[in-house]
Amino acid sequence: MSEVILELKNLKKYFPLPGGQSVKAVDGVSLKLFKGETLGLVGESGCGKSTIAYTVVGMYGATEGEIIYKGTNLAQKGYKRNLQQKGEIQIVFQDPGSSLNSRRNVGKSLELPLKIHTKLNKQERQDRIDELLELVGLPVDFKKRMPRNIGGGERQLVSVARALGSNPEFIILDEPTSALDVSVQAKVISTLIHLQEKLGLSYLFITHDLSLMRNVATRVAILYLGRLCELAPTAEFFHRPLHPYTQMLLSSIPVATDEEEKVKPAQIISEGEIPSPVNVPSGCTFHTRCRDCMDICKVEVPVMIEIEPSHYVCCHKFKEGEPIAAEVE
Amino acid sequence: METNNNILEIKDLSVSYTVANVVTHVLEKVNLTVPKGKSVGLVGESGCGKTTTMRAILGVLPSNANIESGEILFNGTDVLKMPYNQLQEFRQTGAGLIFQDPSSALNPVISIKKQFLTSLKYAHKDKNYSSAQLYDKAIEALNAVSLADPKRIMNSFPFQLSGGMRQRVCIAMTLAGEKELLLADEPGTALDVTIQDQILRLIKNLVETLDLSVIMVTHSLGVIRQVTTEVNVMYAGSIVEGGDTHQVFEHPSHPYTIALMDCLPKLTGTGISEGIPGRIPDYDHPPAGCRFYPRCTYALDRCKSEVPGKTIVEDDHWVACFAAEEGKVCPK
Amino acid sequence: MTPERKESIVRNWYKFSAGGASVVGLIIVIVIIILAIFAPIIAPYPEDAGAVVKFSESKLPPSSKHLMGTDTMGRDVFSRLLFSLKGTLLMGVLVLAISVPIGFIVGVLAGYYRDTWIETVLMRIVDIFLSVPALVLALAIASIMEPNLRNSMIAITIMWWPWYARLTFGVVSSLRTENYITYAELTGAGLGHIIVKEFLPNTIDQILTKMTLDIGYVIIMGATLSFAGLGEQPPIPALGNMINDGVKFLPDMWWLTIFPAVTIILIVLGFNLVGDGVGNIFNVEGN
Repeated sequence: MSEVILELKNLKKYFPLPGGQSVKAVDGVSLKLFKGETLGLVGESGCGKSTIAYTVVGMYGATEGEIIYKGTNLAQKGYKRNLQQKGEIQIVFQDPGSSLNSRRNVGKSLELPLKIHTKLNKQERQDRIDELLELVGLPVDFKKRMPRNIGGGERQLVSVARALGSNPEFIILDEPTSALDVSVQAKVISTLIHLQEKLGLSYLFITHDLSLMRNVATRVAILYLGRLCELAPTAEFFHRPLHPYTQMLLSSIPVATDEEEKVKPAQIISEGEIPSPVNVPSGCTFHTRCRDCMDICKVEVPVMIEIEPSHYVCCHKFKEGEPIAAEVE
Repeated sequence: METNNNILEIKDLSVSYTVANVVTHVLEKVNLTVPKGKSVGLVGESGCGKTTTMRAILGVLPSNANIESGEILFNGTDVLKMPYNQLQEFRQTGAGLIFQDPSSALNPVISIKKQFLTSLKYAHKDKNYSSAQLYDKAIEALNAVSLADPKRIMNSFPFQLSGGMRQRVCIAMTLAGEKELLLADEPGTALDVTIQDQILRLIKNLVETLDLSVIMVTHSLGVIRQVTTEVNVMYAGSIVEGGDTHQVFEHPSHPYTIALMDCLPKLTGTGISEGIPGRIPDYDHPPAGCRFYPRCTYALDRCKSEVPGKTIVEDDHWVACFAAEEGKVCPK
Repeated sequence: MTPERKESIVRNWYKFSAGGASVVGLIIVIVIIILAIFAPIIAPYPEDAGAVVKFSESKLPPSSKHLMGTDTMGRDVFSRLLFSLKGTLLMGVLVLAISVPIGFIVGVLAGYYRDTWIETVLMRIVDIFLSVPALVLALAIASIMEPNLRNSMIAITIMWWPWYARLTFGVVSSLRTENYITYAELTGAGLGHIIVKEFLPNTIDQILTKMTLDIGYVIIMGATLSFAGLGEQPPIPALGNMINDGVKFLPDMWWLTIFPAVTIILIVLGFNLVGDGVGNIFNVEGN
């Protein structure tokens, strides 16, 4: 196995509410991110995917658990990380409207990480800005443009270029294309893939779009109410989804062609709504919507097991070492 | 009046806007038909004119919009020429709208019951129903959209309901109003996919069982395929391809539709294209011929100056493209 | 000048002048500024700005010789009016030049440290100032100091900055969670960068708009203090003390009061119209 860039160990992030309760946004997530891979972190609203991203990047400290980046635990540090760590872990936000300051031109936005994380002088910084724009496939004269005069996809590419300014090894992509049209999304995604090949970057790709992950991710992880349900290499994941929630998600995707329809698991009628993360159901959090719900699911929290090499699932239906029942195939 | 089975017919609709003395020609000869009891899709990316089309149908274009030509026939009557009273009635009883974001479609501080009954009062104002009758109709509609415990829902406030429930309430309101035409603006796209799936199946079901007519306006090809039987693909203010949804999606024939399908990430994992080069043309000086011409990989000389007409591709599938007409468009 | 810059100027002028009224306001303001600067040249009797007494000329109604008549000491009202403009404008400009930066810093810090004790302390101080009627506060402050132009400016500044603190606080606290601010923090930018390079450009529109509108109100406030005898002291002319002098002789010697009063109205009107135009530029841009 290649080098581990980032490891989350039993990461928890609770947000206290007035009245003693708390929102359990992330409730014990463990995973590893390998060098050069794209790990797709997929889930619906309230599943905690963005909270994981923000905790990893340091917007807030974790409630419990560890975030091990290159051997250092960053979990509780939040903004207090040192400058080098701030430069090495970068993020691209979802909303192209708010990720760039509308009152500063593209060049100035790109200059910020260069000023902080490099020792380049003024002229060198300008050259580096040109280089960054070329890297993401934008014309050099973009640096004089204001964010409102460029398209949403271009703004996201500028955000990517800005993240590259501090020469990071690892970038968190928080739904970078979910606000864009598909034709624009395609351009941003293909640029991200090229950059990864060229610079050996590792991505933690946060999204709700499984079809996108099918084409981008090396491995896919599914989150539900702050916990991981399933984690597997992409091909395996889509070929043989095991967790009932994964199956429900996959069968809910509106697809555009017959070929894709064939890939979807047999129609599983999606039902119920996502419970509030304040009052999470007992046992397996998915049991309220699960068609295979057993008695044990209501009381006992299932643990993550490696059912096949590097295919992890967190469900009482599966026992370590036991073969997978034929019906799920 | 000619008799036909079309509840809505848009003929050669062209709409422009005047902003600070600049005229932007947004819609260019849009033709669209909704047969009774069918659901028809209008699909396109942002800025393609979907919203303008929808606003035109409802007669709620902003004041700086000019209708340059065309007509919108609702059951044979031109919506664009309706006097104010009739238009008001058309909005109250003829067409219902389902918004993309169900949270802003309902007033958060007024109970569902009150909002529901008010909307029904207008929708049925000529029928003199009593409040009790209207209430029963509301309950019936809430049952039809598979909301459990409709009485509790009626007594709650929008903020007490989840996004999926609010969306169902909105659909129930249009159902109970017995509107003839349902306009769905990106239904469910603000919701999670498992919830969206439920809403889409609900709409599809209602169309089949209640003989509803629906126009589904969205950017999502997947949503269109799941719910509609006919589709119109819109690019830069004109409809470039249309017909039976299945035929169009299985054999896309317009270079734009083909490129768009290539950009769509697929569950089969066939990779994503590099996107469509260029961007939507400026509407103040749109290309004289085919509006996709500047970005088209199959562009011919005549595309620059001539607007292509309809070419039949399959029995229920047409395309507006010279290259396709000459058989020069070959999808992968 | 780049074409883009040129186009933006043209566009901004279009928005500014859209109603027509703002252009009138701009003309009024420019004329008043020119008159203030060139008062010594334009004034027919520049010496009348001081403590001159010309009994032979006193109490004359407006005529071709004295456009706005003369006061009880025989001084030319028009000349005195011209000389008072400089102090009047200076009052507006200086008060804002001092109170705006103070208000901005307080507001930006309170907004940036929203939901912490820093916000609580700063904004409660602001609230205290805002809860006392502005004029009462200014009168109180001015009355404990020696009455002159400088001290009346200080008094007005003390009661004026909280408005800018609140304005800035509102804008900044709504921008606080914008992703570009978060990005700057995450990548290690200092507080100085965030305040000056990220928040200031987004707040400057509202501040400038409010400033152009406020100059007029500051001038009224200054004139009020001077009317109450707490501003510029005679014989130095100020619009407020000229009105005060003239009030005693109403309605017979109406020119003593009317002309300074109309001047104040014109100045305030001019700045207000300009302020509306400036607001139009930014509001439209912001949408």
